[in-house]
Amino acid sequence: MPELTIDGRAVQVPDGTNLILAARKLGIDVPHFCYHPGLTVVGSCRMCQVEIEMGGRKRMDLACANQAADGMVVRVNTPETIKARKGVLEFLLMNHPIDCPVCDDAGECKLQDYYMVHGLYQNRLDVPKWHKPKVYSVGPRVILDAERCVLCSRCVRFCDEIWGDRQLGIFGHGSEEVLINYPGKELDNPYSVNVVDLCPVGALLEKKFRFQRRVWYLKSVKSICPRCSRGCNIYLHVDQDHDYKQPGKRVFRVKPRYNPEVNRWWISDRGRNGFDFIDQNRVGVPRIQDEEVTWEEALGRAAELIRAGLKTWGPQGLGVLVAPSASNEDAFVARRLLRDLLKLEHVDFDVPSSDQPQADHLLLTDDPYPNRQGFRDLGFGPGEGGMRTADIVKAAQNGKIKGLIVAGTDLEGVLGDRAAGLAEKLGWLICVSYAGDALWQRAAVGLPMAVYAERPGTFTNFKGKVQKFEQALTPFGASQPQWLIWQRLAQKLGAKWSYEDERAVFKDLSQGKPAYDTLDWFATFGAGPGPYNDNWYMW
Amino acid sequence: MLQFSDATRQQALALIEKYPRKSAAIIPLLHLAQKEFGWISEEAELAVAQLLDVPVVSVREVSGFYFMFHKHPPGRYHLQVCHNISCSLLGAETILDWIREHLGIESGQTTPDGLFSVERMECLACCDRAPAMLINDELHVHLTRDKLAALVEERRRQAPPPEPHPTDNHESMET
Amino acid sequence: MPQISLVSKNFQYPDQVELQAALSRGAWEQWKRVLAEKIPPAAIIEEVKAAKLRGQGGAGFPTGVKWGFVPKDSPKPKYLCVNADEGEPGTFKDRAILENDPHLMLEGVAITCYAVGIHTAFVYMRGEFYQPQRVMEKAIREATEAGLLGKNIQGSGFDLDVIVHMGAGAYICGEETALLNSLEGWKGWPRLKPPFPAVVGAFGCPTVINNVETMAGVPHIMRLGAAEFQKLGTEKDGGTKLFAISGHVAKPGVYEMTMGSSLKELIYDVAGGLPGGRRLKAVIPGGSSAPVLKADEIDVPLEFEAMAAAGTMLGSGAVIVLDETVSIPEVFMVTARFYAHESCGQCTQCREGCTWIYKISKKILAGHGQPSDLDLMLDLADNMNGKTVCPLGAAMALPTIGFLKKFPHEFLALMKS
Repeated sequence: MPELTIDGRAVQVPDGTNLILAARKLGIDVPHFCYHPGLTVVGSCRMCQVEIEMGGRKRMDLACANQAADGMVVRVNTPETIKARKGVLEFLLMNHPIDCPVCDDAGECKLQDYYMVHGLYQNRLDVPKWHKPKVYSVGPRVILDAERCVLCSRCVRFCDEIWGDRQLGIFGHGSEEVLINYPGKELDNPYSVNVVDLCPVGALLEKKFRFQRRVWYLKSVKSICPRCSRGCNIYLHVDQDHDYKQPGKRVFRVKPRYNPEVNRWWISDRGRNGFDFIDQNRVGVPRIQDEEVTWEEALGRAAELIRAGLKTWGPQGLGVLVAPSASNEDAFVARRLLRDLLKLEHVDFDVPSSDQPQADHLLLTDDPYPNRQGFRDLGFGPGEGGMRTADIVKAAQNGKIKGLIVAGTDLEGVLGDRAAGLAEKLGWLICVSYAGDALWQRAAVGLPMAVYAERPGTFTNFKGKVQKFEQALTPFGASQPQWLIWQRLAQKLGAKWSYEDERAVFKDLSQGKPAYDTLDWFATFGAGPGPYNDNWYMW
Repeated sequence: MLQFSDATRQQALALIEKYPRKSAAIIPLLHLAQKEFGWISEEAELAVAQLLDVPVVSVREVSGFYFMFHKHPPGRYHLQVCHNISCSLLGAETILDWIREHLGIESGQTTPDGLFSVERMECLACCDRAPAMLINDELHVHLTRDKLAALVEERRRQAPPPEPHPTDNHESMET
Repeated sequence: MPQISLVSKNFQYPDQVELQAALSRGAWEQWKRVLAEKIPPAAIIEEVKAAKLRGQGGAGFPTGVKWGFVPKDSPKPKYLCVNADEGEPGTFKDRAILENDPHLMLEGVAITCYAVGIHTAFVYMRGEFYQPQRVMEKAIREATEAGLLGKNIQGSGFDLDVIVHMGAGAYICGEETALLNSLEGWKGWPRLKPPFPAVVGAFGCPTVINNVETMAGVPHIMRLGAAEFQKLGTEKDGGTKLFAISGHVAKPGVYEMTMGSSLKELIYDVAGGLPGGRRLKAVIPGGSSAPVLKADEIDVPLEFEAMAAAGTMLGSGAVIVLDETVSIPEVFMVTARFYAHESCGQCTQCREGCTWIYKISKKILAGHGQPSDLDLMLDLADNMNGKTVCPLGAAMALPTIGFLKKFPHEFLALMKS
């Protein structure tokens, strides 16, 4: 563990730590473009020059390519290093279009940030700039402005080193070279948008986010990606205050959140594009048949139907399907109601999805749901002799199951046209849903549910890691978290228990489960060890 | 898909054998491709990438980086005129002027009949014999306008050389 | 007279490129002796160190010391790369060796490989060297057929393959780590050091990279012995040096000199002075990246330290002579155009700075310059100098500083106000 001094402050770092990371441990940012902790060091931007004093000898060198050593004295800001970096910045801006007002990266751009520190305040360039491709689609999800590119090669290295296919290249020679894709071959790997996060400037931009919002209006909320069972740590970027475009749209983008144990700096494009459902086709008012009613009326009717169903058909005549996109808190309260209180047997979470991810070597698993492991851990599932999902659906279709409760399922997506027919064969259907799909339209009772982004909770990933997501938005309309819907229904059906909030549910469910018990609900989480700032996705 | 001739393919496979890593043969194979097809097209890049099992992006990074690889078909006689210091001191610009006046082309251009193309080039490492130029793979030195006129005339008179590119003649033509 | 014939001794014989003729003049004798006498590799390295042979490509690093950096116990193969990517404007001495005495260089290669324990040598030759390629490939073929290269050489059990690898037109590949990337099949982008090539070089293996002329000196060290060889030069800089002189001199060409001869002697006594009775204006003494010397600054010994003390460098030993008719701003523009063309594009200051300086130099020649442009270029040069991955940034910065500081009046004269 070498101990060194950076800008007059002592710091101890593990062997092999470079000077950028060592400085970050002290909260000192060494300006850089090409360095990224997840990629190989190339030292090409030359921005991270610092003064290094070792054994009585001073020299100016790169912070990225030099490792901390015992007794080393590092000065980030000396007149020489500031001039050197100012020089780099001037060279980079030389051919840059300086078009910040029309650039989506404004506010997240290193050129902007570093200009504030090293500002030149006088343009010395009076010779023509290069012209390179602009508004150029390099792939289905990413757009390029090569004039803004600083040729740091982070995107090239990401494709090469992390994904494993060199889909971008820097072609040409010298100052005429251009970062671009090969003609006819697109940047289309399932992690392609990570190059947008990596791009330190506005050269590579996400098509989906293009001209949607100024980034400084976005609120960044820590969340967990619900699009496969990896549980990648993400930020949801939301804005509920500016309605100048696409009224009703609240979630604008997903950014990866560093977690060394789960996803490092990356997320899949699937996860990044998986937020549209939050603001599309939502339902916000409870219904009985086609009629909008109050929660009391709807829950009362649902309780009546269940009670009558149990009396007429017995527990064998009722089935429940809950998608494991629900949180541990939802699953736990649902189990208490459905299995413990009502003693239902045909209860399952192993529901199919029409949106199957393709597993790969990097992050994506083949499980479309984020919390299957949590449902297992919490004992949610069929009782002895209870049927699994496929049989429950079959039994519903041939009339053996007469009352069906579904929550957050994608039966319409899986069954297609047959979903509507299924509803018609049943005695009744109770639908807990966020979307106004075919089942919702045909439900005897419709109970609108808040999505994960609208309440806090926990998911357990496929490796058993329990991770918390925060509430980013207020629930749509009058929708409520799933656990609360189950709780209120349970109270109508005679339960005596009640939880105040998600945290109380989690506290109860984690009893005696070490993997759960260790999660500190209030802690800043997901940052992992090391000198990393938790709130940092822009390296 | 562009195919190498059998002979070139054999040469390529022998070249690959010489190196500890296949990628090392990218430049040698691009040289072969240029010899066979006259220039480096996208198809040629794809053919090289396929033979070497490397990403075509890497092949283009290489073909785009090195100045000897033609991105467009050059003329049958490609004139590369050194315009670096010693050649400039001794008249390189007058050589380029002659080409502009008599062939009507500037650096990067080809005559309409496809016979001549011209390119400015950097030091050829024969400054003692300046000004110098290459015509395809032949080095010509101590150039004067008259000497260049004779060289060009001689090539005009020659019957069209055998396809595809007249670089098989490895006799030294240095003067 | 400081001229001497050692490396260049046999350049005068057109048949020296043929193996039989070369053998008759003593080629390959030292190689055969090394094998016959089973001279220990370590002894050869010590001999080369003691001879004070320095890298002749421009940097002047002690050759034996470089060899000594190669790990002895590496399980990986080791490689030798001969740097025959001669491209520094003004330099043409390696071409002279490659075209006139290929066996001398090959013998040096063989002895070097034996000393360091290498069985594969690559001769990385610039792509435009069509004639040197033909000569060298023929020489390798003949030497292999004669059992001087190849498998089990002279029954010694030592194997050595020599492979000519042609570049494809990129000055930067003369930088040793760019050369390695180019050899591996990639763009010639220089690598960060450390690791140094002696430890992690070609294909991730320990690699010695030596200039053609350096290789050609090795057989002479073995023949003369370290002490004799060293005495031909200076205390720190043993042996001889090939100088390539061009531009406005009566007899441009390659001349071999003892280390420490003066630049003035080279120009006037050896190369015949300036033709047509014209006066000297300036000399670019070590390839285009060396800062220019004014006419009254040329009485300086041709060796690494003395040239550095004079504010310039020996570099590759390429001397370009400029007479009184020369426009310095034009020569500067040509120089800047070269570096702007050849900057590899990897790191910021060189990629953008060379082009910027070139554009300003063109603007000045077109009559649109302002006096402030000189300060701007000097500041840009300062922002480039010593701050880039490889020395190409400095190679633009140093001549910029040299031309602008020594001949500011010539630039100012082109400005209207």
